[in-house]
Amino acid sequence: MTMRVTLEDRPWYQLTTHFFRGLFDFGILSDAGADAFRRMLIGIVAVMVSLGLLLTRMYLQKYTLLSEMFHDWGSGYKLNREPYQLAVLGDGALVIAFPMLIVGLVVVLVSNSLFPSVIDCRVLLPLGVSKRVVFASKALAVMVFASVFAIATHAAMIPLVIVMWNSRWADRGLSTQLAAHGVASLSASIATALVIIAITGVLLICVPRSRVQVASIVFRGVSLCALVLSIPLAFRLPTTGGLIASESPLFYLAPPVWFLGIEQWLLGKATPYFLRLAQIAAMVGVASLVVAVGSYLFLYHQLERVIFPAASSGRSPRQRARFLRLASRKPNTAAVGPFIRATLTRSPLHQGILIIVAACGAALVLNGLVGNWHARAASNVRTPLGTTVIWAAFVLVFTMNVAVRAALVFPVELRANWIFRMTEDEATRAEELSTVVRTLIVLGVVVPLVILFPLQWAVLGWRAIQSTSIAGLCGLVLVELHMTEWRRIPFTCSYEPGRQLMWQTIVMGIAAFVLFTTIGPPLAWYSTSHPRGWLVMMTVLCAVLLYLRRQRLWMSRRAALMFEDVLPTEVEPLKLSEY
Amino acid sequence: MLEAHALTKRYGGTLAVDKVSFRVNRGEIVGYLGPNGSGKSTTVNVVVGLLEPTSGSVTLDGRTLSEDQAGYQKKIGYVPEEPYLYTHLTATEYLTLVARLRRLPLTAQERKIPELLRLFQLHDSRYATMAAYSKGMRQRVILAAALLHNPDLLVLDEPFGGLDVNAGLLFRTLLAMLAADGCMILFSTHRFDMVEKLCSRVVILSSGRIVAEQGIAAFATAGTASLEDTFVQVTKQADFRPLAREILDTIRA
Repeated sequence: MTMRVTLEDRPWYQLTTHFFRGLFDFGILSDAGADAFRRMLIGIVAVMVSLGLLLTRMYLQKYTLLSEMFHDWGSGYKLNREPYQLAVLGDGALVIAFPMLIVGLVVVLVSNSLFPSVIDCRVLLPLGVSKRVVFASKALAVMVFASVFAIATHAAMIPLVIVMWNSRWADRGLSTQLAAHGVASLSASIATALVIIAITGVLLICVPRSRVQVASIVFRGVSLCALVLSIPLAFRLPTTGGLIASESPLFYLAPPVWFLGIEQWLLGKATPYFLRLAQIAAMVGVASLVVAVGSYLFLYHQLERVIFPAASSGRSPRQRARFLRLASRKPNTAAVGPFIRATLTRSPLHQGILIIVAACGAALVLNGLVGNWHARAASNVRTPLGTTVIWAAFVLVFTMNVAVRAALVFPVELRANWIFRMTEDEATRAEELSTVVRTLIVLGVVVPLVILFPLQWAVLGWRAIQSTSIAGLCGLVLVELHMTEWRRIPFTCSYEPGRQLMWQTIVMGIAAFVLFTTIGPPLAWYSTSHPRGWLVMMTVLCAVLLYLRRQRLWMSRRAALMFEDVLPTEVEPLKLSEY
Repeated sequence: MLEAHALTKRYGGTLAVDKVSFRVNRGEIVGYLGPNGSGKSTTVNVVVGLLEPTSGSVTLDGRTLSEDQAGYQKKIGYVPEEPYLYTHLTATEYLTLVARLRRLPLTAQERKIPELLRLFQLHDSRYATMAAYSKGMRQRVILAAALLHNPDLLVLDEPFGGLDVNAGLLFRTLLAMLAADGCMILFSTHRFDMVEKLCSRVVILSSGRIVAEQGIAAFATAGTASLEDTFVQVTKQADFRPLAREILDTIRA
């Protein structure tokens, strides 16, 4: 008790706690919303635990089978150790990769808070808190933050690791194996966090001050994208045991396998290949540690870089003139569009949401294409690549729609929404909401289809036009369905997560995805070889689209804009009089 | 003329504003005073249409808020208690956003926005996002945004927080000139000096009710009690000397 009181009295402890809490605070939730958010987090944890248990059960079956595999050695069937050894190499790489991905994602998400900010310095230094305490507390908070996620994910992986190592074929005792794995895997997670901190530090130091904001936005976007895109690759690691055993040089490019090298080295398997992998891991770890610490020290001594960063350059006079000239005859529409663009290009939170969800779609597409390539290479049979390419378009359209809609839901500077509330007008409401729909169409339908069109053209030739047109119309129908009950100017309405139970949301999302990517692609594929069928489908889809659009416009003229998200009460009024 | 009639606002079981009635004539600045929690900001929020009254009505030039909210709000310029802005926008972008939401013609936007930025001494920072602005700078942006569409009624909720002395003097002069031009101004504040110099009439609120309403001239001619004394008297504020003494003793202990 005495110890705790002593600790709490110390400025560095209080400041570290403050910084640590700040890393979880997105500043977008009301009190009720924060409660709901906590419920949602508990739901996510519950879902992850369920999946972890399922995975453990699957691995239990797998390793039971592996421990009883027989092989004909010529002198009769005897137990075969090799499949286990290959499996444990691949799975070992996966259990190292998974915590690395989680730690990497969370550290990238808070990458704009890894170093003391202008506000931290402006507020704390005049209060008499020393520069040293501010920097040390920030560094400590970031370390604790990364460690919490690293330890939590490792704790979640322990049952899986025990299942893997607790075998008759294991070279060492369980405790030795666990210790070696713990050292290697924790080093991997810490190195991931250090690499991100180091790159952020280098950006802060090396990039001209006026461009630091843009550089960090680009870095965050690229890193999130890369991390999410690497998820399907990580989940292919269990199948790569044979390749690792054959000492493939491909894995010099795979960070989790570097740390597998450390693990194997600690277990006494110091082959030149594993030693080389371990050396790469050590070099990367040490280099990132040196750069991260160096960045802190440099910024500590060059405080004006933190305290007085150049303000964002914003629009130049020429850009500003163009900005004004572009204003349409409908001023309200011209107000909402640039507001959406400015927020999506400047808010880290909204970019994070957009990139993570969109990258999930890109990862699925990549996985599908790699799977198709593997199948073609393995069976030497021409699997129709066209179907995969068409399916990819539907997957990207769906995920981009979800990504953009999710990003538009989260508020920015909620209390500043009074200007929208004061200028709400029934006459312009439909126009404003149509701007939101247009944003969703451009980012959720046009952009993914334009990105994929060259690939479709390369695979399908001129028939790509037919498949893309069907995918585009299906995407537009999806947008209309998504936006039927949309009543918000983006970023201006409070957000209350937890409207539905977590499992319900996930199941409904997966069901909608499966439905969209199961029904759409066969229709598009059929249309590529049946021009009449294509015409019929286009006509039907256009009719559905027009009907949904009319419904949306009719409803958007009647119901008022929403500025307060409310959790559903037990009894929901039907509000029939509004329609 | 702005006329509030028997405005009442309840938050659940709490009565924040109780049958408040007042009016602001054209060319008049009315000071709206009251201690913290007396219902000033609630009244202001009802008057500008951000809160719906539980009962009562507000009319502006005969146009009722509940009947034609959009038409009513078009005539209002509002400065909130805190400079709540979209700080990821630049001042130019924010004013452009406001101008477009207020449906200002393009030519007026092109003419007014750079000029207001220059006059409000924000020209040098016009391409920086407002995240880097001081409170005073943000307050100036809010004031510029409130005046952009040349409103008939200006509702100010503590508008001088964060402004330096010169900016404060400038805005005081500006408000007087706006009123002389026929603008109605409802001025909610704690600053008696400003009220005494600017306002023609004062409404004092306590516990959600109007406890005094008087022309400023009446305070001068009464000869006995100043506005501050009257305020302390009608809002039943305690004698602060014992409390101040207690604080001093605590500090020195």
